[in-house]
Amino acid sequence: MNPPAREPWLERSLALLDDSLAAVDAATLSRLNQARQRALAQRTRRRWLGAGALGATAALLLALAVQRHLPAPSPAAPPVAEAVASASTDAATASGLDAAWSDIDEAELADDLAFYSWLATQSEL
Amino acid sequence: MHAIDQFMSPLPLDEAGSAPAQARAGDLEVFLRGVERRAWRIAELATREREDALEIVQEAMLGFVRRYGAHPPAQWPPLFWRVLDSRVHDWHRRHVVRSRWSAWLGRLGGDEDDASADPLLSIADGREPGPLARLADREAGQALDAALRALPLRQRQAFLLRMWEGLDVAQTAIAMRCSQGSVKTHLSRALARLRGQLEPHR
Repeated sequence: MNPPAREPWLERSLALLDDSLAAVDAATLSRLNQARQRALAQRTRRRWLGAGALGATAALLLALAVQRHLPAPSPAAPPVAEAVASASTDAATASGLDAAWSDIDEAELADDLAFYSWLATQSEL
Repeated sequence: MHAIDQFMSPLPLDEAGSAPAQARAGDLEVFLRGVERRAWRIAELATREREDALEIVQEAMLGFVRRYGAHPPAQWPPLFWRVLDSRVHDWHRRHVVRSRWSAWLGRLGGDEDDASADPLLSIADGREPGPLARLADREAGQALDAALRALPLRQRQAFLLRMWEGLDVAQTAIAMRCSQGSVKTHLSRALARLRGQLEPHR
């Protein structure tokens, strides 16, 4: 629909309204500028919040996917505490064996000394 | 689809079924910069208060950017004026309630001489003559200012949006949340009243 035909009084009124825009004072223009910047900053904040939420969601999904695809821990591998306990048991066993071997060596040495003293008495005869 | 539904729906889809390209922040700034002075003038004509008008424009910009900033730029003009019109109506509703309470409390006070003790009356009048009264053609500017302020809100909005802002009838209907027939009625009455008051000032 075309606008109604402009009568002279209407043309004059609209021209006055246009002129009034140029007569807006500086303080009002500054406030309008601040209002505009605030509205646009709100849009920027919303975008960043949206990007942050998207990034957090992506990170969570990635962590879940990695957890699902990691190999499960081997059941044969003993836990650390058990390994330490086992190692200390092994060490105790080793020291026990050493003591046993030492006892055997001493017994053999005693036998050898008895043999050599008997042999000496035989050669004197 | 009804015209207003097309504007108010979430982002319309293009032929490929995807949302159209997001409007750039630069486009939005240019648009707001282009309408902010007229928006303030329209709000100021409705409220007669510079500060209230600034607050209305601020709220309108915030609401428009939040709700419709992602719409295609071609849809912005009626949507922005719709938000502004809504804020102007909110202001009028609050103002009417406040005026009624003030009148009721004034009647309770009884003696009119006591009104001088009301601290609110000692506050300076925030109304300023407005840009029209500061024009070189001061007399014509003041006559237009008075004639516009004397119009009922709906008639003034129809005149300013349709004739000054240049919206078509359908866009004005969207902005004023009424039918196109109502827009024509409000505009016709506004033009008749303004003509009667302003033709002598030609």
